[in-house]
Amino acid sequence: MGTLLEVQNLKKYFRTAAGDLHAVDDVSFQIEEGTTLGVVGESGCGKSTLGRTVLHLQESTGGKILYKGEDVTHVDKKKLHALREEMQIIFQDPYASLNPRMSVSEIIREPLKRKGGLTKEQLDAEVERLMDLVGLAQRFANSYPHELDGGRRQRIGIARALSLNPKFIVCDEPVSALDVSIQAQILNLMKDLQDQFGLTYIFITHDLSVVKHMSDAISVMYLGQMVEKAPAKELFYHTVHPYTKALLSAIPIPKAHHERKRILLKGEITSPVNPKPGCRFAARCEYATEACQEPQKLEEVRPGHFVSCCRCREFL
Amino acid sequence: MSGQKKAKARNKKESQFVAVMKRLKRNRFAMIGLFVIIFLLLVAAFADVLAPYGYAEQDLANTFQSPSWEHPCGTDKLGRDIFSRLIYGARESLTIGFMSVIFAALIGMVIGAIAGYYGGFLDNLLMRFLDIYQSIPFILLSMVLVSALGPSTVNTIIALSVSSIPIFARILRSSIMTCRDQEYVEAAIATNANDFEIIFKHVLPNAISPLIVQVTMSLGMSILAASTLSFLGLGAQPPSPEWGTMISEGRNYLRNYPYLALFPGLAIMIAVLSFNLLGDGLRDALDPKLKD
Repeated sequence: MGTLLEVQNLKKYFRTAAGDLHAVDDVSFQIEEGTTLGVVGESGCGKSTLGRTVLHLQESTGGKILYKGEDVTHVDKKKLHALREEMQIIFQDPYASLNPRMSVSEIIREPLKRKGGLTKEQLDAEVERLMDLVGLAQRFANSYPHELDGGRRQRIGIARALSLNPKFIVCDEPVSALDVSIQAQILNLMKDLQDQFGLTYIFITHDLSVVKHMSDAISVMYLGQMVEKAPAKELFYHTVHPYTKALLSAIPIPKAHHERKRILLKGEITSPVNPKPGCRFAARCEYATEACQEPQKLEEVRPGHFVSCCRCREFL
Repeated sequence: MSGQKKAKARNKKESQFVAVMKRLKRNRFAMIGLFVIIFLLLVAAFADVLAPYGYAEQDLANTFQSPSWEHPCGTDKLGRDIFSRLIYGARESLTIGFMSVIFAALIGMVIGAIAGYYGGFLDNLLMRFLDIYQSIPFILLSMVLVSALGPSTVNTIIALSVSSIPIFARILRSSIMTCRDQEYVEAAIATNANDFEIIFKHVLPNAISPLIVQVTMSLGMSILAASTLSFLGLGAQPPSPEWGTMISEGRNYLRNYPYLALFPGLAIMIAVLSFNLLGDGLRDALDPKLKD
């Protein structure tokens, strides 16, 4: 299987009164077809912006997006429409992502209808198939989203994303708004769908236990930059970057009287508006030195394991 | 069998209108308002059949009659039957109310939708213009307009609608701004919806409720404002049976014949109250998220 999506030095800046806000800064990664890339980081680190920029829901400020080896950073309307049939998104909030005035079947039917080429009977059958696929009982076809619980609503969102038969889906914190008991159901559904259709996911989350369960590779973001990137197991067992270490130490361990070292970060997040060159985590990092004020480069410390930290060799 | 039937009934999709009516029915005051409004509309429509006398029919032998079986609300200085004039007046007042609000809402909607959906410079321009506009009090602006255009029913409609445009524009703008950034709009864009579909299928249906409530409330306010203008001699001119005009005429005889102003005053009050009650009820009924 080849590389489905490649992102090179992607930048997305928002113009604010105070200056440019660097939401995504110089992020590069590639995803193999049929695999999942987990993107983790705290709130406001640019994870969602990254997903939306890849989908052209927001225009990128710089960098390149390659889909199936083809440069799709700037495309015309026709190409964009074709592209969007292959790339879809599942949203975080199943309450905000469904139009409250449309019924379940209308929501799922809409993208299909827009695409055209199906008779009314075929559309009905297709909606039925999609509902079965995501485990929604047919009796909900004419319900409105507000009548259903969070898990069922998220299933509608998944069905809508699948309706155009995409190859690639950005999952923007798809389970963080759900109960823990329902999270597992939705995650398993997404895994099943991935196996069944060979889907490729970008899985955005701040929940580390979720990302471990879902991902083949994980990227850790801090203030718009990618600080560490590695295969999932590698990242958990050979953590290098001080930020990732702090992040992982925050995973609760379901054991009583379990001693563990919790790394507590001090200080405020640096402002993403007009950031200084150099490591953005330096202000909160206990290992920070003079060299951290210089721009950092991603270094491959072990096969497939990249870290953006000038002292990374010391932490191996 | 019955279980199957029940499941089928539940499966049947409810139209938005039916759902709203179902919720509205639970609000007794709103239903009273609705019935009174329907009643007034019917009265206005069938005024020719219902009124026992013509609205300008004079009977100089029977001036200033007290309410009686012959003249349920009495007669005025020219012997005109107040009851018949009230019935014809419903036609005048409701026409002014509906027409002025419909025009104002349509123009306000276009301005508000453009400002809210596209935002940025255009939004700023339109809103600053409306700020200046709104710094002039509503009733003062209407009075200035009507005195500039000349007092008449049509000019009253024009003046009232022009002065109430900003309210509608602002309300739609703000509700569109909240809907525009919702994730379901983003989802629609991600599935290749065009601007037209997004505005008319995803944004407007979710943004229109406050506007509908405002329209209903404004109907009452507009009738009241029209009466104010007529009372000041700037609105519909005698012998028009517009309710405000009737109060204005009755004012001179308030001490001896209070019913000349009392009955049109009551008519205005009932009409305005009904619209407000209905508006209040609609505000709740139009929210699809409220539990049944």
